[in-house]
Amino acid sequence: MIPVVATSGKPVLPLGEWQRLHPLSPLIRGGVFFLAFIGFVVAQWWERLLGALGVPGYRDRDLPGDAGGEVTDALELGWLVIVLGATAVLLVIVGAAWLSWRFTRFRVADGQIELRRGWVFRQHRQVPLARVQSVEITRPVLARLTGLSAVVVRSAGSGTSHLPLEFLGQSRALEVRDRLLELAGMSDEVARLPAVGAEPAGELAGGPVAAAPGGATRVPAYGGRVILQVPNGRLFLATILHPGSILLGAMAVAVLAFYAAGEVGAWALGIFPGMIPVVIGVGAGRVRELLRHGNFVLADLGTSVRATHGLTELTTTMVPLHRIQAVEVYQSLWWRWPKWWRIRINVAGAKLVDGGGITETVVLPVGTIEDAQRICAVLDPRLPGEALLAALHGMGGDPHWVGVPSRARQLDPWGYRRAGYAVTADSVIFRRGWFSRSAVVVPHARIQSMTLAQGPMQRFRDLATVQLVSTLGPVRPRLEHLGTAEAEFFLAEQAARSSVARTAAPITPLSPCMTRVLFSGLGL
Amino acid sequence: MTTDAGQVTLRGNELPWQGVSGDLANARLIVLGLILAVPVLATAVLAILVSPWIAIATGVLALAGAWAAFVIVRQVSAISWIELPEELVIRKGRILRSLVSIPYGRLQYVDIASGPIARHFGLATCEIHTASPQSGGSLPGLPSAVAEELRSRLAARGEAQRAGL
Repeated sequence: MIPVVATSGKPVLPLGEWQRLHPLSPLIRGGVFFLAFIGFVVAQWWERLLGALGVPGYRDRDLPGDAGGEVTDALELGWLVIVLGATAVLLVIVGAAWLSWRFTRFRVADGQIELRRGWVFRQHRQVPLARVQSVEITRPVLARLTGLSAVVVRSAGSGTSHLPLEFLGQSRALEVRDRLLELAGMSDEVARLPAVGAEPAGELAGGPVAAAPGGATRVPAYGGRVILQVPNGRLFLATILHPGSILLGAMAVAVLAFYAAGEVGAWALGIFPGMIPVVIGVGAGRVRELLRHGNFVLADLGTSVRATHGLTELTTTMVPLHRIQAVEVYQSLWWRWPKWWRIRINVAGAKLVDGGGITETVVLPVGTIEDAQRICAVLDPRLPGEALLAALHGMGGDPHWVGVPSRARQLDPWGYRRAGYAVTADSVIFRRGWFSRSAVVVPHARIQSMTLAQGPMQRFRDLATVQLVSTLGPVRPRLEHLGTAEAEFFLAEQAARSSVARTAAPITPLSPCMTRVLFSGLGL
Repeated sequence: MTTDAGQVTLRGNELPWQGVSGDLANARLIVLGLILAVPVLATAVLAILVSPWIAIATGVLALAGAWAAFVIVRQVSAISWIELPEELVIRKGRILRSLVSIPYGRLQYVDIASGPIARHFGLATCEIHTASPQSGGSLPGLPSAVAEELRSRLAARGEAQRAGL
């Protein structure tokens, strides 16, 4: 049972005993299916609704006037079956959710955090407290609506080694997080967290706060020089400029226009309920994007940058500059006209979670070329500005760039003119893409390993693909269809450059908490 | 051990590339045989008992098996590796060629794994892990002693050339 939490904020039940999560958890974890089911039910009732509203074409069908009692009976029977079926499905969902809740328990004992899950397929996951990298609180949309939070324990293992406690009541989640940090020997992290319910947004809106003292990593939670604020209006437009929403919007307008012009009958409106799952899918993605990147502020703390963002819940991510492994400046086709760019990074030790991923890797959700340049100058001060411009806008033929040969044309008819690489004193820059443009910067010292690949089509044209393997993250530094000889030459040269840069770079141990996610009591 | 690496051209052939044990092909052929034996036998028996037309399936399966065996032999002979002063390089594949170059300083840990059939041939797979889950290379078909030696060498060099993330 979830313990009742005293107002003092002290846990009533110690973590040492097996305990369950919040009873609503399974329903929220299965949220999408639940929504899909509701969508299905709505779709079933749609025709009735249209009939009741008096849309021509539906009225006659659903209100059989003198067609006779048999038809009405058959209709009634049909509806009975549907209602019974829906109820049965609902019962099954609730039953399964209850079972799932009964069999999910966690405890902290003997230096381990343990989570047991499942009834048929049982799972028992343990994470040693000594291996805990960070403890985060996350709140997906549905959880936010119900006032629940998830505590995610991330460990030093591979990508799937985190342990999610989904979901706990808000105050209980805070207690569990603080207690776990304490047990994992990260008490100092607890002290750094601002009080719950504090309103840091006002402070931020107040403009640049005093610079961090001495450029130390241990800076007050809210300080530093504000590099940039993304206007929410621009973010809103940029979020809508997305293939999914553009396509859906165009379809809806077309259908409505044809219906209004009398070109098609009312049957066309019948398309809408069928589209509900798609709309939910696309809409949820867009809304999540908006909620996540709203109120975006990036601040420079000297040795790290801090991204503060979130429309309803404020999330803070600290990225130490020396942990940045790769930077990508990206422009999708839809952003070509407003000339907007996005910057994503790979951060060492970051965990990209399957579902509800929270380790923030976007340092510029949408911005102009000047914004992008300003941020790149902070992330990598030694990157020459003109090299970045050439990477973003260049079309081949630039003196410092090595492009792909024109025989790559058949494999990449548009992009081959742009694809290429350049080497600066500290990093390699890859550029690619003609419709959607991208430039990737990888410091020599940050390359994990390198691969060369060649498929049959490439071998026929004597081409090869180079990949610089970075740590886990959204950026994949990759250059396709380079000439084989050039690719081999690049690989050998790059190995030498990386080796020199690696020995020069200081050894930095994996810090226990590289990314930090907080939230204020601002949630819905 | 050298291979007929003449056809695998990525990163030149003037270097002393090492091949993997030919027994790896045998081990993989045995696995293939075990997988194919049941359906081939079943269809053959059915062909005799029920209808000779089912023999077509037997033939198709046998052909697929022969093709897979051919591919296995070619693939195994295409695996080669070399320890350069600062990196381990592994080449694989004939149709889809790939080469991965892992600097010793980037090694996180090295696994040695072997299944029952590989163990019968005294073979082991050396799996090399870096901080990136996608960058690891795996080197199958090393004699167990060689794999152990490689692991300790890699560990020593990794320690000597260790670099921060």
